[in-house]
Amino acid sequence: MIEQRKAQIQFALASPQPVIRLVTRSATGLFEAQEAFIKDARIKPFLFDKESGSPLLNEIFSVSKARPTDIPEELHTESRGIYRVELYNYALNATLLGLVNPELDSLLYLVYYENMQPDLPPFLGDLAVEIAIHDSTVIRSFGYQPDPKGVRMQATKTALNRTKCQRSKHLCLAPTFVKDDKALWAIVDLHELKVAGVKWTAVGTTGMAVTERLIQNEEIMSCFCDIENSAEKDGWSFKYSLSRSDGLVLKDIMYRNQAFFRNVKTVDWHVSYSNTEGFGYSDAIGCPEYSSAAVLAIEAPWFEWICEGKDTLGFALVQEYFSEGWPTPCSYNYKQKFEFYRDGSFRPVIGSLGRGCGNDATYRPVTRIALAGDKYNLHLFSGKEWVAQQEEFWMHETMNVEFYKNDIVMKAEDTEKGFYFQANRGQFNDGGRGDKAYFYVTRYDAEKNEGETDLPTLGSCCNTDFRQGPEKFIDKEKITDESLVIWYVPELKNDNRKGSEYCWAESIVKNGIYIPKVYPCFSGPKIIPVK
Amino acid sequence: MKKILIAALTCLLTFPELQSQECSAYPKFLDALGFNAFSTAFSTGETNQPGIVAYELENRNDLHSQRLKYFQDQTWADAGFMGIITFDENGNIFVAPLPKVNTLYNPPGDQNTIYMIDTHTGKMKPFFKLPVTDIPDARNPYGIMGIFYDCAGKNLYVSTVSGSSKEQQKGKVYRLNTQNHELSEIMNGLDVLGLGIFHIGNEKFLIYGEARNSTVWSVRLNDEGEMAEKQKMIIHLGGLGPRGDDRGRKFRYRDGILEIQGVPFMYNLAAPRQRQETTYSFRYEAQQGKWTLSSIQ
Repeated sequence: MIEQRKAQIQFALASPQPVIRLVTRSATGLFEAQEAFIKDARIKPFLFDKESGSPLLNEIFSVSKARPTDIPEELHTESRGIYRVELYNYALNATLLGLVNPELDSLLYLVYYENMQPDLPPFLGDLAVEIAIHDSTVIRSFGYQPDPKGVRMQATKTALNRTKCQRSKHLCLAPTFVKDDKALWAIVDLHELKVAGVKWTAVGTTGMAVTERLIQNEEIMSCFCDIENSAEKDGWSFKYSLSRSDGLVLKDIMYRNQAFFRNVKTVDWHVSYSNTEGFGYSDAIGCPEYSSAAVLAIEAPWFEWICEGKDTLGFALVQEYFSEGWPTPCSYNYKQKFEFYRDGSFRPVIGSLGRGCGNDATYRPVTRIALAGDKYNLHLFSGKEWVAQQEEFWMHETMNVEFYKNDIVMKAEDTEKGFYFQANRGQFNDGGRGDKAYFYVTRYDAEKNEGETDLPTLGSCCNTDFRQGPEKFIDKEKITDESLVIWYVPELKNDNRKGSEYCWAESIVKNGIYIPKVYPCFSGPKIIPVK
Repeated sequence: MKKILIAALTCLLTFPELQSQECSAYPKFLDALGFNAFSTAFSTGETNQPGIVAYELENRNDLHSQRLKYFQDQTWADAGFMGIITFDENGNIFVAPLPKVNTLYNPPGDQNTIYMIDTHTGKMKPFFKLPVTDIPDARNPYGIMGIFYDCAGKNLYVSTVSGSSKEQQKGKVYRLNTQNHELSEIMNGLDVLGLGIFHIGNEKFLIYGEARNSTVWSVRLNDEGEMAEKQKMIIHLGGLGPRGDDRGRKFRYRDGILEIQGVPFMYNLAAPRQRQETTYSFRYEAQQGKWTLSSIQ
């Protein structure tokens, strides 16, 4: 059935009018009404993307004889023989409702409903059940493959079931499988023909509506916000959890049983727009509920391998953050990757996936890296030798900086180990164009905290100089033989010019629906152990 | 006295005399500013502009019509971004902070203070600080959520979720006498997002929306403004509208219709253009003894 559905979609998209029909020729009257509706010139703009001309996926959900209450007053004189036709546009998540007189072959009345889904035809309920009972998450949660005969409410549109896919704005159905005194809700996304999430509820109780957002939030909150996770891989070990305003926080990072970093996280995103002075936003990233974050983790973090050619260099822990409506204008999506290399190098990567409020944005994420150990010294290269710094300071990598071996900005060392901080000049093969970053070096004082726990918004959106927040912690304290924190603030300018997009996203049509196409801008220094 | 809105006295068939208690008057300082009071609106929802602003509209009935004049006193942004506005019969404006996007201008510890803009001077000052029992943190950046002036007793009804956590509701609903600053606790241990006071004859009702689900409740208040009966759930917004999980944030009664402004609320902040609001209109059906949905906008 799922394959048939995919074929049906492809057939419709290849047709002159990309519409999945509901009724066939045998349904006299209804068929003519459906065809008269589809072929009307006023429908055509609704069927294709305005810019690219690509076909959008549409489906007739209902054709019926119009009831008197369906017919507006101005049509009452000709109310006989009028049919009501409902068409759903999957790309726009919108509905067209028309009144047609098939005998006259004319569309008499047409109205457009944005963000509205009509009642669904029964076969889409059957399709949702078929998708659900074959889904591995449903089978795993239920304990075995549910019997499709045990499904409840399968033909009910989720809206009637108090169920929505609010974030994706997709058409979703919720087949519900009963087992003992519990019911497993499977939210099926009929845009993507897959299960968006599952949730057990008690039968017969009325609680919160089971929706895409509820399922997503519950998983993130219970698995990553309320508890701390740990990982061991490739000689690395660390703990991680999602915070209320500082994104994914990594703690107690060790490599081959040696403590490298105590705490690494991104505390703020500053976005400023150059065309309007002082216009921009300071965004926090983090948990989707009970948090000070505006750009939210809605999917679980995941691990991926770092490969170069046929070689595996290490692994990364990845987390994305999302604001509602992305990638529409003035919405944001950030991606964070903590890269762990087999040679002991570590790179905290943070990037924007667009799209923001304009093409004149500069993104300045603020990352905090707390070194493990309390006897560190921080050295800058003089051109000839490393020189230990005595007091807290900030620097910009383009301001009279002598680089060691072309791109090493600084070195932190204690009695047992040391790290080079390698500037990002676009050499990391991730599409990055260089960071032009500010570095801040501060002494860690447990009593002062200074960002060790969740840090409220640290700085204004729109300062274009070193005043990005960490400078507040620079007060000439001694940094020799101390516990140190390195703050890192790159400067990422977005670009929407064709062919050179950066920190940008746009919507493109694929298989009749809009999907985001992203042009990320990744930033972050690489921290390399001193051999 | 110029009235902002004539009290809606429309009678329902068998839910008679439900009245919106709006005695609000225009602030007198508008005259000195040269504003046409009848065409002036106040807003706390400006993009990137903390505080409250006043603007004179070309068409008073269309909030999107051209803005002819704009004003913000220096004190009006002192408390950061702000939320719902309510007026008293003298034109004093009561408003409370509400963080938007971030906590830069709205530190969590400062979100439980009611501010007043004086009708004569136009200056904004802290009016009353509600008790803060728990030290707020990043897990709940909010404090005062709902505020409504009831002119019958010259009281402000205020809801706060300050100190609430995922595990425990510590929200409160207070009645604050604006004359003598006497504070009375009406509810405790419940997070209420929006509220309104409405009258049926001589009886006073508090209608409110819970912050943690989509239910709307009603409860009769006695002469002292205390709950006189057990609360009754009157409306469930679950499954309705484009999101299906809105909470009742603002209540208004006019022309026989109870309008509920519904918003998503998960105790987190919102990205800049993420404004999601839907107005749900309900009419009371006496025969069925319940409110029925008449429109969603």
